[in-house]
Amino acid sequence: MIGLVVRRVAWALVVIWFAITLTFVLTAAVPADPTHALLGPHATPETTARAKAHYCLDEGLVVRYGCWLEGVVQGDLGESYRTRRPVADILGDRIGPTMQLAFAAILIQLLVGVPLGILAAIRRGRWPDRACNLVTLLAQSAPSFVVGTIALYVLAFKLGWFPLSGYGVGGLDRLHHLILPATTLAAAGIAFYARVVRSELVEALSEDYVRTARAKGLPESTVVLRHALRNALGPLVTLIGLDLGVLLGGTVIVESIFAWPGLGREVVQAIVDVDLPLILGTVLVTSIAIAIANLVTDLVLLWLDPRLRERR
Amino acid sequence: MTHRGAVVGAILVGLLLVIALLGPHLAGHDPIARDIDRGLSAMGAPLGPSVDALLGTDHLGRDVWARLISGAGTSLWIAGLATLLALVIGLAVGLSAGYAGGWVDGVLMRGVDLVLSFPFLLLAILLAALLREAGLASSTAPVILTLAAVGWTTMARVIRGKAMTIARAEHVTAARALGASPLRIIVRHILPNVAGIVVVIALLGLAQALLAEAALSFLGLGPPPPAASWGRMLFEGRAYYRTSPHLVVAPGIAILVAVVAFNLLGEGLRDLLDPKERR
Repeated sequence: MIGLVVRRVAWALVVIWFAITLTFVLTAAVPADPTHALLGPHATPETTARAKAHYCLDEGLVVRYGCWLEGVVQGDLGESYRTRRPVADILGDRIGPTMQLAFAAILIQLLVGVPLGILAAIRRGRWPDRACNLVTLLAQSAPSFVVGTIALYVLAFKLGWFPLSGYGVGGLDRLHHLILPATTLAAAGIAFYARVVRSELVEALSEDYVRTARAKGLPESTVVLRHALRNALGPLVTLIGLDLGVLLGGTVIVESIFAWPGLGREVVQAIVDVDLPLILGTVLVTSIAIAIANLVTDLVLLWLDPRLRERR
Repeated sequence: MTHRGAVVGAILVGLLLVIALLGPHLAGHDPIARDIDRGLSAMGAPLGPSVDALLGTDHLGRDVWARLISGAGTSLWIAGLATLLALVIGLAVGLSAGYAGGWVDGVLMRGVDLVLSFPFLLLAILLAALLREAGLASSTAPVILTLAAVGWTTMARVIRGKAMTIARAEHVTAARALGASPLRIIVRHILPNVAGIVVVIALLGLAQALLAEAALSFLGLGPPPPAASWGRMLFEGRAYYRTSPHLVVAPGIAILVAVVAFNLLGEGLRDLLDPKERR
């Protein structure tokens, strides 16, 4: 058990190291000289040399890698080319709103997707199942930027039920601003959760222990919710863990539609400005967040499902 | 039910291919010709749908219908090529891992895990931005390479799983006993058996690639202007969504229909190949 935990933690560290290294390799592979973007066309050779020394640009690849690694470990991700602010500070400001959005989306996916999946499973083959199937197909195929823009046009602009964009001030206002972006972000996930719960539940409902539970005379709701649904929990926990990665990627689009002041909007602006340190920093922070989320997921699964502990 | 889905999907996919191939003949207008005189209102705003322009015009007075049609070609071409590239990598990695097993499998699959542990869209954005920096901005190559680079992982995983069971099958053992080389075994005895699942994941992968291409274009990292791709149309139309929602709705629906079509066909075929999958 402890060995397993240690292995999972070690793997998470490998993933984080890989993320740091890959971002370095990708920047090193780009021939562009960052001092141009950093200092502008009127830089003197002196300042250029100083900037190069500061970012270890005049050294060989190995030294630069060491420099980058050292910086990252100390929380120094360089400065944004555009605003000259330390990238770590910018990310610190932006990660909060993005996390709110991602967690709100997960909550919506659970609250809508799981009941949909249960409904489809217990009415299998009949119209609720088919309707659910159609809805999930559409939700999975609809790109978030289309859902988002149309929701924005109809619900916010035409009907005026929601604010057009922004972050909101204070609890209720924040919630009001959060609903549309979070639902847009959750749309595909709702479909995915519903499908997984449906197929797990359908499988569980044909098991012997479910027949036993029914034979004991337990009410159908107890059979479904207390006995069969438990088996769908494992895959669901895995999904939630994996989802964080999908959602953090998805926020890039949703945030730029709804002007939500998070990491995603920041990275889009960074792309427009070719602000490499900021792009790299965002990718790095996000992949670390995902590595941690995957680690937590693995540990929760180990705790939930004793069968996993016995393997190997 | 599933048969019906597959048939609907096949018809839609066929229709899309016809539109993509016959594009210029169906459009009626030039997709990239700006028409300032007739394409814009007196205030300089995009026109709504009318008899002359079926789906109205965009902010440069270009015909939206013509752009939508020519965008079908661009989007399918990019997604198709990227999927093909991803499939080649996925097949190479998946088949070798599945056939060899042992440490080869361990190393390759851990590699897949590593790439998968990155947020897909962020990795795509990073790659697209870097490839543009590297001076490839004026072609569609960055988009295609990016989509392939993030798309191969799930394919490799599925193919590896399938190849693994087949590599343990008796006909493979027999071939090995007859002295067939590993390459011959993989190509002649394993590949034909994974062909079915490969078609399925290629179709589902194509749907994902279409979505991803549109997402990248939406962020301004897609194929360069003035070419029309659906994502690029959305990107350009976004600023006008309040006054001219057709600029967003038209390409949006096109993407939705195309993705649904490939998903339906892919899932339908999967259920036909493996009836156990859907109970």
